[in-house]
Formats: sequence, C-alpha cells, structure tokens
Amino acid sequence: MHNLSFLFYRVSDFLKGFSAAFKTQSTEYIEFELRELENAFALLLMGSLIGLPAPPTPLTMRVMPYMAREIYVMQRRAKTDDAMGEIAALFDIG
Amino acid sequence: MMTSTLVILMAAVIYLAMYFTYGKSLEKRVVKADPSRATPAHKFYDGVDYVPAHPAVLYGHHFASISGAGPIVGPAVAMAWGWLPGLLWVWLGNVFIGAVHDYLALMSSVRHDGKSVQWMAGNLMSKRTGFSFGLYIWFALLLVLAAFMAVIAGIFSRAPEVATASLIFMVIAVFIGWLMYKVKLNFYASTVIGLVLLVIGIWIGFKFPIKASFQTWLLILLVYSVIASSLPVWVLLQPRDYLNAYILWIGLILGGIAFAIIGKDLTAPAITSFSPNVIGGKASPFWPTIPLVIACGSLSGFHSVVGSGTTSKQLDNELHGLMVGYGGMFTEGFLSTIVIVSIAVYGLTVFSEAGVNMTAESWGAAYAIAAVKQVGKVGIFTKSYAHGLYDAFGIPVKLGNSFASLWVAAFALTTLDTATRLARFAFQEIISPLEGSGAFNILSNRWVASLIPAAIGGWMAWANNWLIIWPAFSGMNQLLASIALMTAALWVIKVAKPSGAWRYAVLIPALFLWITVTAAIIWFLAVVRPSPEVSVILGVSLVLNFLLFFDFAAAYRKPVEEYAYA
Repeated sequence: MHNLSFLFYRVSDFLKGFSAAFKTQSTEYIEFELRELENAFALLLMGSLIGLPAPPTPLTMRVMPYMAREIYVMQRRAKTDDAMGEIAALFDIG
Repeated sequence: MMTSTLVILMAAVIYLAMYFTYGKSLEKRVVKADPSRATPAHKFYDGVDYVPAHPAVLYGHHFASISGAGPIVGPAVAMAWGWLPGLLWVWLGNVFIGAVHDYLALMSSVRHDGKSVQWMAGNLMSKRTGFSFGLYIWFALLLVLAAFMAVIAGIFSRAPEVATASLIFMVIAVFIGWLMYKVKLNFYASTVIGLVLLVIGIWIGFKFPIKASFQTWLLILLVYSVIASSLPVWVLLQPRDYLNAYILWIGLILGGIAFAIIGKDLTAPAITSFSPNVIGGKASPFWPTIPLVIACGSLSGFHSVVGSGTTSKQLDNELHGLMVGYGGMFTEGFLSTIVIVSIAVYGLTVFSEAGVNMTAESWGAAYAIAAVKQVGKVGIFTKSYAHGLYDAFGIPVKLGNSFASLWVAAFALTTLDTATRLARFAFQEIISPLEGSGAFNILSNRWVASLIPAAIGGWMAWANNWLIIWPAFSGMNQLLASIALMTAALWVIKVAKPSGAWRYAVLIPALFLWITVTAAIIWFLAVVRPSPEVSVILGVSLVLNFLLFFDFAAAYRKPVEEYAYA
C-alpha cells in the first residue's frame, strides 16, 4: 500500500511538472528578450565604462545598487558566451 | 509477418530496456553522477540563466526544444532503403550515439559550470576548434532556411487546405498571445480557446483552400520570414510555439496509440537494396549516406548546443540528467519510429491513391523520387498517419492529414522565423568591419539584414531540389554531432576517466560517426555534385572538419595530467 501511494505520488509529481513545462514553453521567447533588454539597460547605465554616452552620473549612482545582480549576470554571460545555445534551444529543428 | 503493433511495442521495450541498462550504466560508470554534487543551477543560482527546474519540466522543455519537423521529414525519405534499415538506424543510432551524445553534452557541461559545448571544445582541444565550431553553425543557418522553406512551400502547394489552416493558425496565435500576455486571461482558459480555434481553423481550411505554386509560396514565405522575424516575439512566435507543443504531444500520443492498436501488417518492403535512388535521385549506398537523410530522428548536433547551452544550467540534480538528456532523445526516436511504421503500413495505399504506380519491387528505385515529386516528402507521412488514425479511432483521413500537415508546417514555420532572426544578427556581425561606411548603414538595417539571408535561402530552395538541399542540411547537422561527440569522448577519457572498456563507450561511436559523416559528405560532393553554393558551404565545412579531427588527435595524445583542471 505504501509502495502504491509512493508510485501515485511520483506519477502525479511528474504530471504536475510536465504541465509546468507547457507553461515554461509559453514564456521562453519573452524571457529571452527580457534578458536581452535587461542587458541593454545595464549597458545604457554603465555606458561610460565602454565609451557610450551615459546618463547623468548622480542618476547612475542612485540606480547602481539595483543593478548589482544584473552586472554579475552580465559579467558571467560575457565569459561563457552562450547566446548561441540559448537561441538554438528556441530553434525547433530537432 | 511484422505488424505495426509489434514494432511500436518493440520500440517501447528497447527504449525502456536500454534506458535502464545501458543508460543507467553510463550514468553510474562513465559520468559517475552524484546527487550530492552541486549542479550549476545551485552553484550559480541567479534567477535568470541558472535556475534549478523540476525534472519533468526540464524534460518537457528540453524535448520541445530539440524536437521539430526534422525527425519527421528525414525518416519519411529514408524509407527508400525499406523500413528495416531506417528503423535500425533510428534505434541503434539513438541508443549508442544520439542519446549518448545528448546525455554527455549535457553532463560534461554540468561539470563545467554550465559552459557550452563550443567552450568545451575550445578548452579541451584548441581555441581554433571553438572558433570552427561557431562557424559551422553560421553556415548551417543558410541551409536551415533553404531546407525549411522548401518543406513548407511543398506542403502548402500540395495541400492548399493546410495553407489556409496555417495562416489561420497564425491569426489564432496572435489572438492567444493577446489573451495571455495583454488581457492576462487564465493560462488554461487561453489554451482551451486556442485549441478549439485550431480545430475551427482546420475546418475553414477545407472550405477555403488557398491554391498557389511551390515558387509562389517560396516568395510568400520570404516576405513572411522577413516580417515575422522583425515582430516582437510575444506577438506571434511565442504563442504559436506554445500551441505547437500541444500539437506535438497530441500527435505523438495519438500516433503511438493508433499504430500500437491497429496491428496492421507492414506492407512496404523491409529492405529494398543497399543503394536505392535517394540523394539527388542517385543510387545512394546505405553506408555512409544514411546520416545525410535521417538526421534528427537518430542523432542531431543541434541537441548538444541546446543541452549544453540552456538545459545544463537548469539541472537540479545530476541524477535527473539521464531522463532529460538520454530520455529526451529516446522520445524523439519514438516519434521517428511512428513515422517509419506509418509509411511502412500505408505507404503503398497512399501511392495508389495518388495514382502513382508503386510496388514493393519498384520501391527502392522509385520511392524517394515519387515521394518528393508526386506525393510530397511530408505528404507521404501525413497521409499514412491519417490512415492510421482512421483505422484506429475513425478520425476522417482528410482531417487527420490536415492535422499532421499543420503539425509539420507549424514547426517548420517557427524554425524559419527563428533562423531568420538569428541570421539577421549573424549578418549584422559579419558586416561590422564596414562600420562607418554608407553601405554599412544600408546593410545593417533590420529589414535588409533579414532579407539577405532569407533571400539566399529562398534562392537555394527555388529549384525545388529537395533531395539535394535536405542532405546538405543534414550533413551540416551530423558534422556538428560528430564534433560534439568527439569533444564528449575527450572529456570522458581525460576528465571523467571511467574504468575498463567504458573508456571507449563514447570514443568508438564518435570515431564511427566522424568517419561515416566525412565519407558521406565526400560522396555527396563527388557523386551528386550539388550546385556551387551548396558545394562551397559543404566544402568549407569539410575542411574545418579535418582541422577539428587533427585538433582532436593532438588533444588525445596529451597526458591526462594536463587536463587535471580542465
């Protein structure tokens, strides 16, 4: 009986996860674009670091603390250079 | 006599048995998966790229990412060799090469902090390898555009009702996107509305079919891909891709059950000859040319890019890798099995309905050419599949055919859309040395940068030489797979270091695949002699392929100690 309920739990857990996979499927492209926009936003704020015209410094300084995670993510992404994998995942070629 | 039930059951048994024996051994002895070792999703959790996911979510998502029109179209044409060689290539290819490739690409990436397979190739072999790897993908892109434009134009010109249904499907997708993302209607309600509208769309397709020639459709697709790739993703691409996932699973489950219960004899010949007329309509020896026809259903290089690019960053526990990587490939192989079984059962019926004089004797010489020119490379599958649904559930053949055609077309359209998008970025990057000049301003314009690769793709597809374009696309894909597998083999031998014969569990398939694909492409260039643009793309890829092999050989000779920190 215990085994049966364990099996039932595993199956229902799988099905729940599976239906969540469909939900992921409904947002993956949007999430990808959001991430790209976040990168672009970070570049706008930190533009002076790479020679882009930057917004007024006091404004940048005030927004900076909120950008900590974004800078961290951007730095790591620049190292791994995985845009290709990400786009290929959206490809549907098989 | 072999029946469809027997084949489907055999497939299920082989896949399950190999998953729990060979797959589990790979997990234990080669990868040495350890549930206590922190995966990149935990080590580098950032809520963006690195997020642990439920294994079923990752499996569903990984499968939807790797599966598309490819595993359907390739095996349908490979039926020229008879159903047995194709089936064996799918099954054995899955178990010993394709699934191993996907699983290893995923797990080696997991052990290297979620780095991509290109990065791994660069790190384990040489910088040049990593660069060549990237170049491959850019070349493949143009062939993707050509092959998939030809697939869709072929479906639409032969089945005008599907053209209408596909156009309506786009409108439905836009509507669903609006409901989900703007109106913020409940997720399930939007889905139900979408699926109901889809059925109505198929019905309208029958009432108002749009008739146009192959070339007219190519021009329309050219305009479509330029516009669609410039739209924001949430408008069309995202909601259609989402509905596609339902079509894929419904198609897979319905087909699996139908062919398991009808129990019809396989009437197509099991084996025709070693060299039937397939690639370019020329006598094509099964070895080495099979990977130029069946790519995605058996093994696919794109999977390594997906597995190491996104999936590896979301793996919650190392023990989930087998289900996601190895199991995901098996599911795709099962889809290809359904394609082969459906044509093996109903292929002769479909040919006779189309007025093509096809017998088991003439099958080898005439199948591929008749399927592509007279019935349609997708049509031969969709009509056979529809007959299966009719015999199993009484679903009208026309409806089943329309559903299956829509299924393939919808995936191919998404591919076209994304490939044009990617080609645009690539093109803008390629022309960056021109920056500052007037030509750069014109060429880097979003519409111009989309139009140029799409036009090159359309131009390559124009002659409707599908039996040339598809093998070229497959060849690129398989070259990528062989490089990824060699990278994985190197990782296994130098870094994972399993004991005994398991050292060679990846090396032998990797070498076999490299030799096969290299020989196949040389054969293709020498015997079929494709058009200059295809020859140039494949020729350059072949040179890169040899460079990679030398890099691999040099890296293989290096002592293990040098990899201690790799």
